[in-house]
Amino acid sequence: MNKSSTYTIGFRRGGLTLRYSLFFLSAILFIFSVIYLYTLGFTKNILENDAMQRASNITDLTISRISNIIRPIEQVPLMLASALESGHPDCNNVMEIAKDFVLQDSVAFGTALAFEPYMYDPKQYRYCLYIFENRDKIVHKDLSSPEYDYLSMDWYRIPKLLGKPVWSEPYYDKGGGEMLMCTYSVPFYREIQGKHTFAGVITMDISLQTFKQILKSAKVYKTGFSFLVSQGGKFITYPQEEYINSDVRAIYKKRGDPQALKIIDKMLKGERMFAEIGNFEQKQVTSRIYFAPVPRTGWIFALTFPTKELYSGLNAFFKKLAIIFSLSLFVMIILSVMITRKFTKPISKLVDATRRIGQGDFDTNIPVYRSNDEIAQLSNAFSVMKEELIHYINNLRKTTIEKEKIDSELSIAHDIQMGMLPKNFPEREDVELYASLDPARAVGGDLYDFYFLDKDHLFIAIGDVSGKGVPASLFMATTRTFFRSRISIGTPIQQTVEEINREICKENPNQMFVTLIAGIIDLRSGSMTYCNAGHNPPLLIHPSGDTSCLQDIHGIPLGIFDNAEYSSGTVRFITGDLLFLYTDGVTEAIRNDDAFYGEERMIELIMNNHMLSPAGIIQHLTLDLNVWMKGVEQADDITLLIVKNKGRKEVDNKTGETIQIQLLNKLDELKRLAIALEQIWKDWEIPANVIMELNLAVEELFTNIVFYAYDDEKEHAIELEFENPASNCIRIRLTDDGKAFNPLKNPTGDNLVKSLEEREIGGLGIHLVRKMVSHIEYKRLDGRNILLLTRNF
Amino acid sequence: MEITEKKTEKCMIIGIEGRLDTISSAVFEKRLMELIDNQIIRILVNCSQMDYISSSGLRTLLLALKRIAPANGKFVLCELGENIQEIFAISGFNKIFEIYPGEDEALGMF
Repeated sequence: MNKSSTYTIGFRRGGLTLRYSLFFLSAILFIFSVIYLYTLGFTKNILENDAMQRASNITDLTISRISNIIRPIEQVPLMLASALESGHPDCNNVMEIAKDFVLQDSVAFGTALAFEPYMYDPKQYRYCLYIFENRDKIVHKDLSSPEYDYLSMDWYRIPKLLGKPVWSEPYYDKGGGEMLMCTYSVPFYREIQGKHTFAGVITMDISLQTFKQILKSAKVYKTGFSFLVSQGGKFITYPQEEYINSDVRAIYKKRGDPQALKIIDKMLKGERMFAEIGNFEQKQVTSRIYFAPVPRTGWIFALTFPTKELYSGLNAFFKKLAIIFSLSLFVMIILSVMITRKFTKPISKLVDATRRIGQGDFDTNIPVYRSNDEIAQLSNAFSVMKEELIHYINNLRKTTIEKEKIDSELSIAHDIQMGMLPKNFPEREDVELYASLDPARAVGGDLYDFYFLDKDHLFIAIGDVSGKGVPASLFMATTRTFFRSRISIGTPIQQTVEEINREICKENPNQMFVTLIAGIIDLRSGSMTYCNAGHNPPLLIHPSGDTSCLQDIHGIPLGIFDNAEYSSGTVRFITGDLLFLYTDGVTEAIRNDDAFYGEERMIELIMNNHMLSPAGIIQHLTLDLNVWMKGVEQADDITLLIVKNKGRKEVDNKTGETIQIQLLNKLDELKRLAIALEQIWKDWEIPANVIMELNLAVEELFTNIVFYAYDDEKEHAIELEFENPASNCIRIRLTDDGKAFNPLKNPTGDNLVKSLEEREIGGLGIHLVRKMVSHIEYKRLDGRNILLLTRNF
Repeated sequence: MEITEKKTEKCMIIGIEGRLDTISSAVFEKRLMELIDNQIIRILVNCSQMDYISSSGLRTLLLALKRIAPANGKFVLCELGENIQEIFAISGFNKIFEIYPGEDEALGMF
């Protein structure tokens, strides 16, 4: 066994393993991708919502803490302001209360009381007292000096203008607190001359340092942070000190980020929002921002963190997921390869085994599988096929050998049979004969035969043995040999046939029989004595084209009953007659639509070609038959035999003998006519002077017919019949199938007396004929012109 | 049929040997017409070897005579056999043609 080609089941191009593996791989990859993308989207959404929620919670918490710090800062100056508006308060007391608050409160940093000019004391232009904490010490500072000019400070000016308490923008109080701060300023009023008049401002400062601590804890994610922005858009707090008091909008204006500016605008309007925005510090990084206003102050609390941190956990998760997917994919590939291999391996083995069986190695074993699946069924089917194949090939081998044997036998028998048929067709003046035999299979059951019994007697036979093949041909050979040995001139033909029939019946184990026509033609008289033993009636074709059928049957086919009796018949030919014998293979030749060739078509073809030689007629008929049978296997032997009587002078000089001559309507025939006439006159010993005159008469009349009887170009037969009823009398009959014409109607005599000038050329022949014969008569009969001449001498 | 031609000072002597029938008279006619076309119009036909003559043969002779006579030529036959003479008699041609028993006699007429 050739192992090398057995298990080559790798990833063959177009192999099942590769195709199925690729298919599974693609399907799994697709499913994984769908799951991955869906999970990614879903998780991102969750993370986003979660981040927003957390940011919102922290924001709310921080704002509430800021509010808690700011509320007392606002309440103290508000309360003191209302005290300052009632009657005549003691300014020192007010400041004492404020000072105590600053000391107690961790956020409050300082407090100031400032009056409108001359409002504190009509004699004093300005009054501004500032008390603030400095390293746990209380410092009193008079800010009424013209250098500071508190009247133009924002913390004083803006509440005066607005007429309500105001949180200032963060500022660095130079000359005051000397630090970054925000101030809550509350205006107070006095009734002067019944008018509600602005009197001054009381303030509370807070250090922005305070919020730094609070905001530090308000953050999400690793690098997230929060900050406060004032209503004016300035950073109140920021992790990096340098940003504090700078403008938020300026960052994005400088960067040219209109999207971010829109968000900032919304922020400064006091909206609450979660948005994505460019990082403050780094241009390329995006951040998430959550912002909300701090109530009353107009400040905005904002929480921000880089976007990538939002998904940082997610990325790790998906990395793991991808690893898991890849691993499962790998496992799936291995599994699919293993499974397809499990299925294709037996198939590959089957393919290999089948290929070797196909190459003729029937010892190859088909693999056997015990399971009941499709592969096992296929394998079993292959096994059965192999057995049947072996059986079939053995049979084929046997039949081929047998057939070759038969073929060679048939071929030998064919050679014998064809060799037995005579082919040396006679070349004689008086008779023409031609025959052919086309066997249906290698060996046929037909036969034909002819041979001259002596110079005047021709034996002809045609037959058809029942059955085909070797036995039929042997039967045929036997029959032919019997005839050759038994036929003789002296014995009546029916007697010979009877004898042969008895002989055939003696040894006929296969019960074969033969239909047959056997005849002896006497060439002198043109008569045939024949016996038809159950064969197709032969045809007699006259030169005119008329055809008659020799219908008589003289007995049953040979080989049936040994005591069968036979008779015979005689048929006379006239010159030019054709005797046509054939077997039923002709008329029963089958066309591809199962139509028979038929007698009618056969007769028509023969009639159209009856002027040809027997060989020519047979050639035409064979050609037509081959056309008819084109594409169909020849069913039966086809045998044809034609005898043509070309006419013969009767040498016998007895009176009353009739001699016929057949001529074509050609001038060339004059030569033949002259020869024939010479022979006839000689045979009948006609006197020389009469010969000349008779010749002239016959030739003139013949020439006349050739020239004038026919309008067409076709060949026609002109028949001459000579009779010698008495030793001093000749009768001649000329028959033609031309147009009706009576030459005797021509005027006679007048021409003779005319002079040379008057005499017409022509018209002379008939005149000469009249002079040459004793009697002349014209008849029109059955479409023929008949001239009867009688000459006595 | 065979045609022999012998030219003498006086005339052209044509000998016919064999059968002057429908076929051969066509050949004879062709030759005669050629001669006449070439102004050979003094012709003596010797029929001593002529076996047979048909009406076509007679017609050919008549045709020659009809062409030669108006041209002041001469067309004479001689030495007709017994059978031929009879045909000439029957057809009345013996009255149309100048016929002499011997060739010398006929030549004397030219």
